[in-house]
Amino acid sequence: MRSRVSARPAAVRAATALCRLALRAYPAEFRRRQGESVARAFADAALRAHRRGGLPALAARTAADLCDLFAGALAERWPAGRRGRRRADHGAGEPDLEPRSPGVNETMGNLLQDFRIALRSLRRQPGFSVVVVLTLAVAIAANTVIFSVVKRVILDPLPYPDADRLVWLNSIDRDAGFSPVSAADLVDWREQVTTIQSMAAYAYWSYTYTGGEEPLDVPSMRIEPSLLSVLGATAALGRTFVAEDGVWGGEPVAVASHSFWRDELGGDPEIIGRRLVLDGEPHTIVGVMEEGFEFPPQTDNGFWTALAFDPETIHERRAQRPYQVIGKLAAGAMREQASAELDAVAAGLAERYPTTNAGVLAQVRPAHEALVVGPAGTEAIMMLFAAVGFLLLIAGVNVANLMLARLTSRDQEMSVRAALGAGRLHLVRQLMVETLLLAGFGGALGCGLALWGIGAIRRLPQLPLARLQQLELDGTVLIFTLLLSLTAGVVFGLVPARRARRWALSGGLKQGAGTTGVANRRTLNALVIVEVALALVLLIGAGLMSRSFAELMAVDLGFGRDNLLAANIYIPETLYPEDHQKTAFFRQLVEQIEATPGVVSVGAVTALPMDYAGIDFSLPYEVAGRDVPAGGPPQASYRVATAGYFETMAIPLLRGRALEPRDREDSPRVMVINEALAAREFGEGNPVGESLSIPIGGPHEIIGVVRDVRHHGLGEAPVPEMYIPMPQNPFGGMVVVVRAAGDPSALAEPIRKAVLAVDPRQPVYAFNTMDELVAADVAMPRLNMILSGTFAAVALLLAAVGIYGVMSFAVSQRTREIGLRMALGARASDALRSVIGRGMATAGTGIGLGLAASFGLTRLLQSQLFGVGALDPLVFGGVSLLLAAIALLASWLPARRATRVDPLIALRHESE
Amino acid sequence: MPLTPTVFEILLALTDRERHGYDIMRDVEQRTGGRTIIRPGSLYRAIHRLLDQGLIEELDERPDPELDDERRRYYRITAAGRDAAAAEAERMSTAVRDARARNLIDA
Repeated sequence: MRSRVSARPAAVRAATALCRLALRAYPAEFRRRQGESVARAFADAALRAHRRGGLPALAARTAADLCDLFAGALAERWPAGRRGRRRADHGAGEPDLEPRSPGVNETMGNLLQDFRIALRSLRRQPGFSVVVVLTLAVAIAANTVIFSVVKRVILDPLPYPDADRLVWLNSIDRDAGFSPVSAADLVDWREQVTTIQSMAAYAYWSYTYTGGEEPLDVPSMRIEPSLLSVLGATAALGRTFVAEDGVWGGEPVAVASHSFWRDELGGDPEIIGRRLVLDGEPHTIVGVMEEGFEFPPQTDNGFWTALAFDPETIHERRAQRPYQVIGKLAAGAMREQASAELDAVAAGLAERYPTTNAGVLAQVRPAHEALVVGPAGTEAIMMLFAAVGFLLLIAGVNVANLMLARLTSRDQEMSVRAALGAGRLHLVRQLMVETLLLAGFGGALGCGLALWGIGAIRRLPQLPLARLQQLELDGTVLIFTLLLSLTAGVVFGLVPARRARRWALSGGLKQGAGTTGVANRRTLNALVIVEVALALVLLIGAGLMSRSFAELMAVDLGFGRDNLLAANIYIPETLYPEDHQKTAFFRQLVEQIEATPGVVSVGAVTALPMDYAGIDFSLPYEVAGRDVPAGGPPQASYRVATAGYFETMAIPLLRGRALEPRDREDSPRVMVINEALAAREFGEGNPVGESLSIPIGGPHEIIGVVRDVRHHGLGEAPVPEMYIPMPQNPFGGMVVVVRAAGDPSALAEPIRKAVLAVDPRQPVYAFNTMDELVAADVAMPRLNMILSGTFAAVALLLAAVGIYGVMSFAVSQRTREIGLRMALGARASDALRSVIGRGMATAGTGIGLGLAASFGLTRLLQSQLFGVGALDPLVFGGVSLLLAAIALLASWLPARRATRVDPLIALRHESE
Repeated sequence: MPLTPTVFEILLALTDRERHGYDIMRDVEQRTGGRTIIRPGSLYRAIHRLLDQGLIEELDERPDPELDDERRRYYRITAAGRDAAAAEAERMSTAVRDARARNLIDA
């Protein structure tokens, strides 16, 4: 039985959570004695409805059960006895079961009647109803959209069994920060760490598959054999990898993805055992993965091949850190323990291998964080979630305001009804039903708006997170929205319900029209103050985001970004084993492309700024004639480039000369360094003529210094870099970058043809314009700015409507007073000033409160900001002025109307 | 003093055996062919009062601890509860007889 409890679908659990929330409306004593049982029965009923009719049946059942719960809560809180209907003494054994308390069908009948009355009453005031529904809809939509983001990106686990035990391991370099892992380090970690039961390395790879009609570049992965079992993945056909597949020098084997097998291999059921040529080398297909298996999530890999380490060279290559590592915590182990253990192991390695491992630490991160969304992304999303929470509060304040104003004008109606015998409970229930109805319409409309919003996010050209493409309004999100609408209905409905006490005392009958209670006006004012404060906080947040984004876009990249097109090309080692072959391929390719009309210049580099597909790693270096520093040799990013690279990228040369065609395979080893490296090692001095020694190629003479570029993103500071001429260490994977005379994307097809002209077997992996790469880099801040800006604009609008509404109401209540004063000789300008003064005092208090709250809150934004302080005076001042101006307008309009009133009409207003 | 339909149905559900709350809801629903549905809120408000009135009582022991979950609470009808339900049934049957006599419903 108990196992069934945990097997409940999320929707049923969410419904039960709603029930528990509704239970809070009951008196504590009832809740204590019966709460658990109610929730239990509620869950059982919900589960059965879900099994019988899925989500629709569940939703219907939940809605009806919740109505019953709320009706019951009201009856419990205001029992018949207190309504003066307690019967006289009754004989023992004679059941007094509150015959007047509504039974099941009676309750539903009354509720239906209440709904009909409510609907009629709301239809009588269409303006009011429409404004309330729209206000709630906008806020509910914003919350629904952001909740769907929170759910998809943060709450949904990785699609692997035991996903919460998966961890992601990486090295931390003292100089370069984050770094992947070397094979030798991984082998040592695996031997010495006990709290992580398995670790497996993987590396992104791109295979050239030549079995089809034309060469195909297939995004793939080289993985250690144990990786698939760490992930709990199984094959649909054949098998996954076994340990023998990972032995160095063994037969090359591959596992195909289900989609590649289906689309490119014709879904051949006899595929197992066949040999496919990848990178010119035959690989035996041992398995096809299950449909939908992806690793990493939201990638579309064609092949997984077995990664093996050469035992001969593994230790020599300890400084090369190309691998990503995923691991699984041992059962019962905590990530903190694993982290501590790995730290100790890394410290031991640093002591044993100081030249390669000094200052190299290790890090254990949750796999979800590493593969789906980093801490910065999580923070940004939670900020947006908080922002929409504020928006909902603002909307709620507006609704409560409108309800209060409306109720005040209904005082007489309600008092008459109370005097005619309607119980207080009944009046309150009537109000509750009205708000619930409004909230229901708001929720439904909000869902529609949210669908549109989710579609709009999914259609954005550059999404910062792959999972955002899969945003949807699923059951959990819908239930969240339902919960939100119900809560909004109940909470904002209850605020004005406090007034019901007055009607029961018939206060409204005695009160003449045209005046309003001081307490009531105070409540309205307090609500507006809160609203203005909340809106100001949102506006300041959005203002900071916008300024930060503007600063980011104004960053000098260090190169000219216009009209650049990047083509990622990878020539396989198997087809081009010799260095001179690689050099020849790229030299010919550059010549071919240079001859293309519309091309200004061409270069190639192993890692292009802003492009994550490049081969980007650091090497330790030693300055000739100096001792190695105590902490081990420092590191710098290592890039290999062609002679035309700096010119094409428009990276200015500061000293010496650039890479030139005369730097050949057999000429002296040279390098160009960037400003950051020059400043670090040579300060103000001239580095040209000095020499740096690196593990690949030994000592290199420095021939020139170029400007720093923002390699890892607009917001990331430049890193020390060295550039090696291509012939001296050619790589198979290069990014060819072309500066076009006009639109760079028009050159994609000519470049593809040029590649095929040099080698018809050769595909191009990807084309990107530099503008696209930069846009992808700032996708998160941009999305942040768009969303927070939208929410702030809505907040501003709602606040304006709120101030306007309250001022109009206050003025209409004071019409008689104003008319009287003017009849007694007051000038119109005095009246105007008095009304506006009161409005501005309220708005000013709100702005003051909002500023105080912002001072405290914006520092939480600090890590999301670039180039602007969390207390930026321009934003704080500008936004406050904007809000003050809006408040002025919103109070001036009704004030002007009041002063135009003919005193006679105003006085007559009283006698009506 | 007539019983409310909810209370009567709960008492009726408990006349043949002890049941837990959800079991009562299902029995009523099945017995009446879905014409009467008692929802969790109404059910436990009524149970709350029936316990106070001494018409039903809570069991100390589970009927079958092996099969069951300790969070479920079982209820049994008391002698007073049985009397009250019987009196109500009697009243209703009298009402039905009278209605038939006046040809309000078919015999």
